[in-house]
Amino acid sequence: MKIGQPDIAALRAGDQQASRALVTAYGQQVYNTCLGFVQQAQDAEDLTQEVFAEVFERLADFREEASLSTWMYRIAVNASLGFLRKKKAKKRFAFMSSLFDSNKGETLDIPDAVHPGVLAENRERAQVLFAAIAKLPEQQQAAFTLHKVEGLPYQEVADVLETSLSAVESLMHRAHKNLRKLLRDYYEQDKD
Amino acid sequence: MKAEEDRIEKTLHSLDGIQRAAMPEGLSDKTLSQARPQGTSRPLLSLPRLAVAASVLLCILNGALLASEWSAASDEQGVDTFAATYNFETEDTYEPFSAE
Repeated sequence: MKIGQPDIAALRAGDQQASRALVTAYGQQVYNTCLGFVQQAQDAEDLTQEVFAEVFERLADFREEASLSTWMYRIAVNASLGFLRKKKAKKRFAFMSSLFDSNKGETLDIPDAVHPGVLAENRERAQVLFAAIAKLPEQQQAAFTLHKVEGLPYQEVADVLETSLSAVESLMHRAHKNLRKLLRDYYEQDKD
Repeated sequence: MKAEEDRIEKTLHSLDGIQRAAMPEGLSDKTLSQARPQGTSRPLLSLPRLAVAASVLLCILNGALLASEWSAASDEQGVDTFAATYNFETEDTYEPFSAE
């Protein structure tokens, strides 16, 4: 369900019913996007609330150059990446100490939980893949997650990331290459 | 080696067929109560606006104070500095010609 022009006008006017309709229509999209990045259900819930708070706050700035869905994806991706950035900063001390560790290989932080939408037979492997995705540079991480988890076509990924189609193709190519390397290193360490 | 490549390939495709996660119950209500729609009428006075206005005022005030100090100093020193630069006499050393 897409929300058209009249609803945006109602939202801008602060209409409660329009707000409820917006959350109903886009809640799952936002929650799922956040969950694709952060993996933890509680973090995804908190982020969903933050995203909608930002959406309501910035509705006046929404110029309708992109669709509402794309705009909301953009806010959700930025919020999720910001959250992961803060989380990484908190882990900085642990990272600094790991620099002095004798084991110099790339290690993956395998998450305890995995996205509930992953097929049962793929859960273990998906946990490893999500840990590897978390190690990618932000743009590659965003492109890969939007395409693979949200199932967005490259053009829509390009719209969300405000970049060109060829840039997304390049991001995906590099993401695949980096993921292969990360997974190879991980499985080699796993063997030892 | 082949087995390892297969493992990597399978891992890379482990998100194939992923379903959308259902939104937890009650999250919609929580979201609506947390994020109150405000409409477009924003308050005229907000903290960031006040901060910007205060810093601009401070800059103007600071500039005005500096300008007044400089102008006072240049009023005092202006003539002497000018005279020193161009080697003028500022004292009245003119001696009238005496027709003795």
